[in-house]
Amino acid sequence: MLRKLYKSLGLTLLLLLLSACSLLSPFKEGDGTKIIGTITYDRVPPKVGYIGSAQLDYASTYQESAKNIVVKALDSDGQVLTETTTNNRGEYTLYVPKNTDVKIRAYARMLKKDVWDLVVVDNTNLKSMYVIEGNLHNSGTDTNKRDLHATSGWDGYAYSGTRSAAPFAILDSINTIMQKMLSANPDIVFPQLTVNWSVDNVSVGGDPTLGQIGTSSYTADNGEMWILGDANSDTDEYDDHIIIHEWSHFFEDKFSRSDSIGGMHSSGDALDIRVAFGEGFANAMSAIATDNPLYFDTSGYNQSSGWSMNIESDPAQNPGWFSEASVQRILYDLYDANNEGLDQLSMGFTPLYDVMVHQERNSKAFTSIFSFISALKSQNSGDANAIDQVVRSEQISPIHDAYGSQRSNQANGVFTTPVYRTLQVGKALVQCNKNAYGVYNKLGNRTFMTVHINKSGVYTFSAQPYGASYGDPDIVLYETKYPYEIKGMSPLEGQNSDSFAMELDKGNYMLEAYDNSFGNSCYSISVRQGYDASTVGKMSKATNNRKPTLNNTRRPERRPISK
Amino acid sequence: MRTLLLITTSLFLTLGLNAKEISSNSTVGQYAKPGAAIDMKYTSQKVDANEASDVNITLTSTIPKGTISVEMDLDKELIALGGFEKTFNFQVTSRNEAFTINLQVKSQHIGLYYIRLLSKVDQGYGVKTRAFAIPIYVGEEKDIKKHRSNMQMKALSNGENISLSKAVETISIIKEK
Repeated sequence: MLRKLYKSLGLTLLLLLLSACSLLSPFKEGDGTKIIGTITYDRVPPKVGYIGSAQLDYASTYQESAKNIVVKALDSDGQVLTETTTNNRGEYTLYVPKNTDVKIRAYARMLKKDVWDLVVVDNTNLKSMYVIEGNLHNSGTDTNKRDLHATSGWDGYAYSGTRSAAPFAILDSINTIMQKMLSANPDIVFPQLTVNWSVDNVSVGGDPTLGQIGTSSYTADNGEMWILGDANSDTDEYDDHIIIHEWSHFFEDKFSRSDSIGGMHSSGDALDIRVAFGEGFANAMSAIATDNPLYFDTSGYNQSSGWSMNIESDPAQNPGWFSEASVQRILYDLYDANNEGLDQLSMGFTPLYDVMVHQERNSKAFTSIFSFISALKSQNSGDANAIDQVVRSEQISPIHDAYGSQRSNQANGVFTTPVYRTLQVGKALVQCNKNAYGVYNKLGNRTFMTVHINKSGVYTFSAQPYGASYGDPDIVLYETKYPYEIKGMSPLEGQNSDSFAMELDKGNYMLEAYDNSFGNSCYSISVRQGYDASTVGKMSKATNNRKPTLNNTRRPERRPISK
Repeated sequence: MRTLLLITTSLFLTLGLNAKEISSNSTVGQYAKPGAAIDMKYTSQKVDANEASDVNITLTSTIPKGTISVEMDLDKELIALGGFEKTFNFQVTSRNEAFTINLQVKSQHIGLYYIRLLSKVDQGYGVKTRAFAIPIYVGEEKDIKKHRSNMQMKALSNGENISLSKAVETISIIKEK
């Protein structure tokens, strides 16, 4: 009896093992039925007007291949039989059991082992991954050709259907920029990236599970992208320059460095140099990756009221080292094959890529057009004069160092050079902030000072009112090495003076001072060795214990905070 | 004295209970994609169905002069009280000038609705736009989330969460020669 039972159990186990093996081992050519096919999606191109308008041109919608995405074959129980990825033409090949009911599912996931892995998920639906799938059909014995297509959901008048094409359009735009990166470095390995998109993603900040994502963006603290999908207001899934712009911030974060503090910006603005470079770089990358300088952003009723700009040839508005538009024109001119005027250089993408991932990442100054161009010149000394010419076309005199020394363009007299000052231990300097170009991230809102510490020990940094106009000063100390972390920050809010003390090692630091009320105000900024008793009452107990006092609620953001 | 205290306390309690929770946000200092240099901040009252919500919207721009034009649109479930202007034109005379739009809206149904603005700036270098949305919460948060629930998510046995759509499928059989 027992022997019978053992026999029976053994047979069952063997069958189970064989069954498991058949699931784990995908069928190969000759073993089963071959399924081939192409995965496509509706691509809605823009119609860009001569007067800077842009809209989605639904009448010109075409089928585009979904490249490098995951495709799986599933049985009638929903179990995965086998899987693969599409090639650069959206084509796939799978082998499945003969005479079996099988369906094909395509995932909004680009996957290549040790190269890339990115997914598009619905942030309003438990971060579920978007997929499209066909119906169950018997595989038979002859080769099946099963093409799957994701539609835009547009019925000629409105989005009435499921917008299943959108996640694949987003992936395709990212594929474009990743291919450009691979052209510069075939060994590049991209970190995993999650892209959040939903038809409920609206232009207001709040609860991202409700779609309140603020805007299309990349957030560094969680390393994710967020894309708008609000029809008749602002959708970005087909705005490839927007997608690439935001992915370029991901690139800065993971491969290079950006010290940008974010905030509102436009091509005519005189900006904080860190913001101007970050945004100009991302704009330029959208043109470089697509080899199309026409940047567009569709919005409004039926996605018909957007705007566009020509990255290369739009008229310059307030050009200079503080302009994102100047940065994007310079970078694109350095890259492109089209030489005109002072642009007599076509470097291609690789030299720009190399500087971003090496010198820019490790710059001792803040990331800006100064740090980038000075490194580009040093790495390509034979082209230095030609680079100077391109830079000069934007009313920027030759750049000699990462600190932008010897500036002649003072932004219509608003900004007082130098860009960086030197704060010596035991001395003070007066710095005045201006809001003539706006607040928070505009030129003149913040002052940068290099600080050299000769001897390790405790140092006190302080900001005291100077003159009649003062507001709420903040001072922030950075370490001048990658990742350029904030070392210390003054703690007080709503006070007209502020200070902090902390222990510092010998070396170079960067100090940023600004008026948190963003008025036109002046302060005396100083650094003294030791704990300065004159600032008692302005520092917390923690400071007395020689620990840095950080107030993270006022910390300037290097990239947007998570939603 | 005790009576006065009780009356005052109950009055404060009543006022407190009737005070409407405020939803507010600002784009100042937040990351923005390229576009019109316009910031927006708003306050809106969280209300019950059929109750009016006061909405205050303020737009500021860093352009020194020019025109900001705004097109406003409401979700179809929202009703504007006291008239509704669809378009606004603001003349900018200095940087950081503030422009306000005040309105009252209500809805008969619980849910999360939006007032949408499409703002445009033209300084002679081409138009730039920026879209904004102002949320109007009608009802309790848990009811709103329940109302919005449109879960198409499928949790698969292999641990995958997917949002599934039917593909347009074309099938053909290729006979071996």
